[in-house]
Amino acid sequence: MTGVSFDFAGVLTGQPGQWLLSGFLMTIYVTVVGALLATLLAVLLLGLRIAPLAPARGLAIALVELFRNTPILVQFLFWYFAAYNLLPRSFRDYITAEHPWAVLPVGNVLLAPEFIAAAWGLGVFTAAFLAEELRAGLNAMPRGQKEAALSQGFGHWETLRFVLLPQALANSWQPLVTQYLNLMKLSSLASAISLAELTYQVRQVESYNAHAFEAFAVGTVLYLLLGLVLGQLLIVFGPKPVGARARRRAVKANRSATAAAIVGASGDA
Amino acid sequence: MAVGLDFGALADYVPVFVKGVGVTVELTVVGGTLGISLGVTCAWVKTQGPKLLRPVVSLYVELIRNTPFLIQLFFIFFGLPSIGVSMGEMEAAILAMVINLGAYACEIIRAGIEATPRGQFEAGASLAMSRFQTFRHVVLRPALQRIWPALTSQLVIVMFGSAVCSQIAVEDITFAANFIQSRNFRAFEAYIVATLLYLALAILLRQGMRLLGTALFPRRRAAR
Repeated sequence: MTGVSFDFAGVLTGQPGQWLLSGFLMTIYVTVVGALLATLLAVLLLGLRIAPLAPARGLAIALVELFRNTPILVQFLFWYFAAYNLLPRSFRDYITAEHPWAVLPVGNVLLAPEFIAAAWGLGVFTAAFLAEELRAGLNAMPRGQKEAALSQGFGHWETLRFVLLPQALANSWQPLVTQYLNLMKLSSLASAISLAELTYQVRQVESYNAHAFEAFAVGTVLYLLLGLVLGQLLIVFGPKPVGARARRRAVKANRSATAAAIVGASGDA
Repeated sequence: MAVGLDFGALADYVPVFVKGVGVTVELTVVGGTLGISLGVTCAWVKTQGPKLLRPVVSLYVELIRNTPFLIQLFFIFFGLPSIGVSMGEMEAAILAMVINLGAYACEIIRAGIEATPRGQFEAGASLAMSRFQTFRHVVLRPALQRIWPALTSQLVIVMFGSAVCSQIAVEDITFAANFIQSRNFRAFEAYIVATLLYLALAILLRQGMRLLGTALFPRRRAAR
């Protein structure tokens, strides 16, 4: 074995640098689209879960448990290799046709089966977790809140919309941010369905010039950086706890809370 | 193309799935055991251990929890050989799982240790136990009991995470499903079977951990 020396320039410049930049951007795109989709689906799931109709609740429970209790990698593979082919032929043809308007800088194509399967897979998986966190936030609400709203003449839907949900959202914001950051980390698994995101491009650099150690070190730092920035943004612009006392408590806890939210409580599976 | 599920098409591949289940179980059991041991060690360092080591453990935990498992696995399998450390895919997979679980388990177990009432430490000290003896005989077991459900969930997550190891050609359940669907194009059937296998394993793992829990913590602790 010869002496070990590192060549980070060989990874950060030229073609490899271009690949890493493109992969980094792709990770951001799929994270943003996946997160939006997850939020939308989580609201739908939560609606089913608290609906006054037993079959709806049963369906929501089954979906949540199914998505939470199987590996997301298998879910990705299922969506990409199996489910995608059930879409109408014309739709698939449209997706695979060339669309110059859908090509983003550095050659990232979003209108592609890989991107759709990845964003959808991330969205569905994360939605199951988001819905459960939101439900936990709702359940933690004191009964008095609901009773007060009803006694003021709010309907059930208005109580939920204007009184319960805003507070539940604020109270469960920390775990929700954790889930969004988890989504970002899990997007690395989309490389298995050949979405050209960061992990995929790191591997490409590694097989291009064999700078494996440097390439993965840069990849690690980029994920760390993205998590840090994303976590901070979500905390700063996220909903704040309602009421003066709760806000004071939140400010006091904020020093460690930001770090805790960035770190996250659950693993990446 | 006629759409219809044909699980009979998988009949020839049953041994592939059986082998896959064996590998997934092996990864989970070995990785889980070693990972929790590493987690206990790190939790000890962070709460009782040498002060000099604490920032090192913190750095390790933060680094692992803030990066994707796939990147960690690739780093070990593809990155380390370039600085002269190479290993087989199974070894790399287990090492990655241990390092990953160690970081998460450390934080979970630390929470359990920090919830220990001061009186427990003082009682240990008053019986002339050393700090380590107190930790080993007085603190650890109730701490583990406190966080047993969280640890179980983390272990299930790690079992799902083992699917990721198929990406470095470890022949687990996911690898089996990929292999089969690339041979007979029965993607639906292959992934549905894989999903059901993981579901069954998750249920088994939870039950196993529950039994292990009742064996390890036979008496319900008195209310404080």
